[in-house]
Amino acid sequence: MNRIEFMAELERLLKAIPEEERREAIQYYEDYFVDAGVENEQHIITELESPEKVAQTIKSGLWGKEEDSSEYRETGYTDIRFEEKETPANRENREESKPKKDNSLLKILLIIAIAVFTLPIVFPLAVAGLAVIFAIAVSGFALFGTLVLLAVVVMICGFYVTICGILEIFHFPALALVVIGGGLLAFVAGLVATVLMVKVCMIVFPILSRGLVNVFRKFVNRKEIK
Amino acid sequence: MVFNTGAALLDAIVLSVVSQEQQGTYGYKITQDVRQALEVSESTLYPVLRRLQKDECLEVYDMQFDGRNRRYYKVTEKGMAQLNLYRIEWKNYSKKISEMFERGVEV
Repeated sequence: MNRIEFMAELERLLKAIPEEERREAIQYYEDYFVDAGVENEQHIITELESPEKVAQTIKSGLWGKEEDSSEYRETGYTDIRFEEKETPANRENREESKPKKDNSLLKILLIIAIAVFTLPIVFPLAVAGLAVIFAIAVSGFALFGTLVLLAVVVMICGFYVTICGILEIFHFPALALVVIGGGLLAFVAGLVATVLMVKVCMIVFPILSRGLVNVFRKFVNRKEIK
Repeated sequence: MVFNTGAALLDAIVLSVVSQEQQGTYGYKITQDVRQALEVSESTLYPVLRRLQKDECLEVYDMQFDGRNRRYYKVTEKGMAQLNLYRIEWKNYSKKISEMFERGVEV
């Protein structure tokens, strides 16, 4: 395999990733080959192993998975998904244990197949689930908003009743005093409740919106990885 | 050598290598420079460079060289801040480990 073939194969393997990412990666490796010089061409191709391996590295980097699934060792980059866990005792054997490529390829195919077949079921379910979560959150907002309004209304009624009592104080002094007293009590109770509910809202609303954003963000992230 | 290099340390090494070139540097040279400290394969660094670029720690620009456009990498201000953080962290970390090892020798 020469450089031209290698790059053509790599470009073909990167068809699935976004145009911009593909261009970036191709430019990088084109530059790389040219900068290394013709005399190193074969050496680099040998060391890169295969276009498949390079494409795999690019893709896993793209999905932000490289950090938890790979390590950089003194023996070079190692994708720990491709190797079995070893205890230090048999470290000497490491050079012999080749990555199980066929196995991982099969796994990838299987995952893709599962994704394709379950998508018609999973996608509507996910949308419905999100809609329910969204509705619950909106209900939460509405509930606490209503409580605030209720408290305000109690306050206004108390105020109004007090005014009525004051206006009638010369006609029915005793009754008017009772009405004024009740009205004032209602006004103060409404005022306290309003302040309290606004405080509660200030605590609950951020929690609700944060929770909602988190749920959606998680959903979106998972989709990207898939 | 038996120690593994984590992603953060590799980030730090790459940032350090790139920051040593005022005019910026390019993929092949970065790989060769990193190899002075660490045995990395030729395909290791692309995802790292791309991620650092997306995180705005590195910026890229194309420059004419030998009648073609060559892509250069340069450390941004954010990248410099990150590198300084890595330097401090590494200093503390390596000092603690070294001290621990030396304590072992004296006993």
